[in-house]
Amino acid sequence: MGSSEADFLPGTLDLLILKTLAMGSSHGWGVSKRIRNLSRDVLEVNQGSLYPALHRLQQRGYVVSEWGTPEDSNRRVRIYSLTEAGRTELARERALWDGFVIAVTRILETT
Amino acid sequence: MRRWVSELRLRIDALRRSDEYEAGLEEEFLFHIEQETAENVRRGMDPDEARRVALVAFGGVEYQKERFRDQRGFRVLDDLSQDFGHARRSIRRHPGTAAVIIVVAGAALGVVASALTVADQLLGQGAPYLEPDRLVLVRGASQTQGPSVGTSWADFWELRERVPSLASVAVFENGYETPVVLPGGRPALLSEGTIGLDFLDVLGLRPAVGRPFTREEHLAGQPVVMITHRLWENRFDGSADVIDGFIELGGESRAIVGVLPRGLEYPMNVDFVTPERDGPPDPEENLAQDGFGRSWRVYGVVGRLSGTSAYESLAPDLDRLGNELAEQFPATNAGYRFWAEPFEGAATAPYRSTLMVLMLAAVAVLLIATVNVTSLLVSRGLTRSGEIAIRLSLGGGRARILRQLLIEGFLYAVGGGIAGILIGALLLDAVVPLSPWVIPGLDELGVPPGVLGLCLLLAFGQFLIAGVVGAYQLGEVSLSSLIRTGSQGPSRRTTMRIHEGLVGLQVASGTLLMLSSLLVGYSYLRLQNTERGFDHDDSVLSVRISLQAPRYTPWDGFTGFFHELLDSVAAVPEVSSSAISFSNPVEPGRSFMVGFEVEGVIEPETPAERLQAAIWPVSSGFFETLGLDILQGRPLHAQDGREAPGVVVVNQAFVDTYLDGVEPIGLFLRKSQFWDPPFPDRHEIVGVARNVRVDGARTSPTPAMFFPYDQTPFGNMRLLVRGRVDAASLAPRVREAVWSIDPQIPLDRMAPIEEFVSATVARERFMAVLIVVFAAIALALSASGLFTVASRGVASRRTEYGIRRAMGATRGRIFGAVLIRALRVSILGWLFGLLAFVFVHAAVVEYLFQVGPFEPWVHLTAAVSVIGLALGSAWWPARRALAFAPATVLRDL
Repeated sequence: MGSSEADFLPGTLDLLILKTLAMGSSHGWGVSKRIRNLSRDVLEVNQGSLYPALHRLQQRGYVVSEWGTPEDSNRRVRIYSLTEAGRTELARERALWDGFVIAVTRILETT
Repeated sequence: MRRWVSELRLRIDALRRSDEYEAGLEEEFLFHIEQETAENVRRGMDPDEARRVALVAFGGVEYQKERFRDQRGFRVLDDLSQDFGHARRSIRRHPGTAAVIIVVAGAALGVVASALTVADQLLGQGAPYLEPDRLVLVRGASQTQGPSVGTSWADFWELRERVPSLASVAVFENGYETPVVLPGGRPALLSEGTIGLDFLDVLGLRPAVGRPFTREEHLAGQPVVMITHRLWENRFDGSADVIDGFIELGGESRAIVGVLPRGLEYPMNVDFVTPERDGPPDPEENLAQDGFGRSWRVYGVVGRLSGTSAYESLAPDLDRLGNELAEQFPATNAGYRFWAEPFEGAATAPYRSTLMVLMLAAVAVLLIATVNVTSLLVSRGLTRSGEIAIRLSLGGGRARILRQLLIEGFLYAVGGGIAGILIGALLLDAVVPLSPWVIPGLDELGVPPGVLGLCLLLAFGQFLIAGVVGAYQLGEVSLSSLIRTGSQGPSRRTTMRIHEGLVGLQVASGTLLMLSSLLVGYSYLRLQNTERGFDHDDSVLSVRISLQAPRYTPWDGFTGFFHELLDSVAAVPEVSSSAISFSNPVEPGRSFMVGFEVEGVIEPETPAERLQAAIWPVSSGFFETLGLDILQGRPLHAQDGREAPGVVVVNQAFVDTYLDGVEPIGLFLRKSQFWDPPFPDRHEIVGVARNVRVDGARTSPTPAMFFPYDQTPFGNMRLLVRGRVDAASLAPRVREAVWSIDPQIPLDRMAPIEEFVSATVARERFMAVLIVVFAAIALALSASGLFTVASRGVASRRTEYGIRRAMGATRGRIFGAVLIRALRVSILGWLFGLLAFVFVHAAVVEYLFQVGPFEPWVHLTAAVSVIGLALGSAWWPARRALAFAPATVLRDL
């Protein structure tokens, strides 16, 4: 329903969220916007996946959240930040992803 | 343990955090949509369009919340209370349907509960025997005395010593009616038994209160008694003080030392027991003949198999002993052998076939109700398919909706279970008084806890089935299919077919049950109306009168009292005739067999080989009072006294069985003798009486010999009185007449003889009433099932009927179409029911009396009822089908 251009590979959403939060704390919409912008509108995060994923990461202790009010709105919103454990996890998942990409590329480039 | 606790705490914390998180979710979502809208505006959309696009992209706040929850752990706990609330509201929204569902389920569960209670009470009657599967009952079979007789003391002594596969044995003796005086000077006529040394040990039982008899008490025959649990509860209010009390027996005070455990009614149906004297048999017993000594076979024997012996090894051991004894003591033991039956199950054997029928009936009713409940729930589910489809499209998880349906089923199950238990109790309350003494203890017991639990379990099972079928239906629900097929839900044709199949199954079970109940009911009526051979209208009263030893002594004391009694009763103006008799003709279990021979016809070489027939001492008014016809010769007269020539009247069964075409009148009969001269032992047959069915209608009449009371006096007799008024108003006058002679005579079992007649078929009546009630419930449930499916069929064909009307179909055709659909289902169901009956009819046949399983009118009635049922239940839906005006229906298309 929500995703437009491409579906995420399983597990990559967490990686992308951790990465965007590594650039700085943000609210949920900010995370989805950053992903969209950085991927030049190729990746659209399905909101139905985004918030459960944020919650899941928080449950695991990679992310914490607090209520805050962003400058351009008078609405209360949860601001998510990466924890130390989250950074470690990001590094780990990053390594896994790199390994995965190399492996897939090798297969695809075989002639 | 600690780890587990901390784990739990973590989880609960997580759950709480989740709740907090979820509380903020909406705010967060709204922010998200706001931001998205603003972004869209920046991209150049107008504000309304921007918001719409943002909303579409987001997918709806509620939908996202559901998805969020779907991904969360602990959803089950979290949503359960919400689901319960939803289910409760959903039930409350349709109170009518809910009530019908609960009543349908409750009716069936009530049937099951009452059947199980009856079964539980019947099967659970035994005492808490130790390893009951190791217990046996040893009986004897004699060529002359019958296939099931007791054991003599001398033979018991051999059993004790010479059967290796029996570890221990003990005797008991059942039932002598004995007048006693209970503590507080209350006279009573009680049934006395005896128990031998080790009796309770063999059974592995302990007294409920007090102590068992000691070895010394058995050896010396000391004056002590133990009372049964039943007597303890009925006469002593279950008080432990009873142990210090005394029972006066034959002028002698006997200390009550203990109370037997509950449930000993089998093998011993008595009120109290005395210790059977133990010791080696009198050497003379080996030689005694003429019905005493080794052929005085009055003892029952219980035995426990020895450690390793299988039940099968017992029979050869018993056969060997029997043969050895027959060789050793040919005069008494020729043609006598031992046999054993397992103790366990013997007590319930007579009930088993009826219980089988009853349980079969209950299962059929349960099946019908389950189908009904399923069909009702599913049809409710279908009418809600609109709601469900909308919720699905709004993002309600399929699992979530299914669970809500199951929870709704669970609530129904609780309601149905409770209703079932109430209905079961009511059913028993209504049925038990019809046959109060059929099942001891049933009237005071109510539904036992085990049955309660089982019923609730069955209720859950019932609704689980309904839920699963509902889920199957749910699988087909979606918004698009709903839009495609209109408001009636998906795959109409398939669901209708399933429903018709289920209803067919219902009709099949109903047919099976109806056939069984008609047969059992009809059989009961046959039994009830069997010719008993005498005139038992409600003007005959029967009273048990037993004379006590020191006060009345044989034989003058006995004859003197009864003569005076008959004179006194005859003086009562309301009395038209009266008599004393050994028994009333329909009193169960009262018979006394003695050996006899008929001069010139049956003349055995020794008295021990004599044939046996029931001896009935009666006074001269007996035949007149009972209206018992004399077929040949004359009745007994008052002149047939002690010193007059011996006479006897035999019954037709005696003539048919023994006299083999010889003219009976004028033959001379000799009987084994308990009375010394001048009492005669040689009696001329002066008359032949019509047969009386002594033990109820099922057994064939036993050969009987009616002797003049004065020639064969007993102390324990029945007073029979025929009145000019009904027996109930006769009772006080008779009581006065007896007590005017001796106020200390206990009057026992004073009841119209009609009650005794009725009691002989009480068990059959009980079962017949229960099964007929079950069948009625089953039919009502089947009718409601047929009605439901016909109504639904009509509703779903609304358009079709409208169109057909518009195309010119007559009202009659449409009306007929609905009826024919119902008929088709019913007739198929009936055929299947008949087929099932052919398979299981053996279970019913065993229970039938003078009725075949394929009695034509029973089957005709069943077939007509099924057709009537189909037409009756489809009538109203069919009329509704006519009400669809073509114009209205077509407008809706």
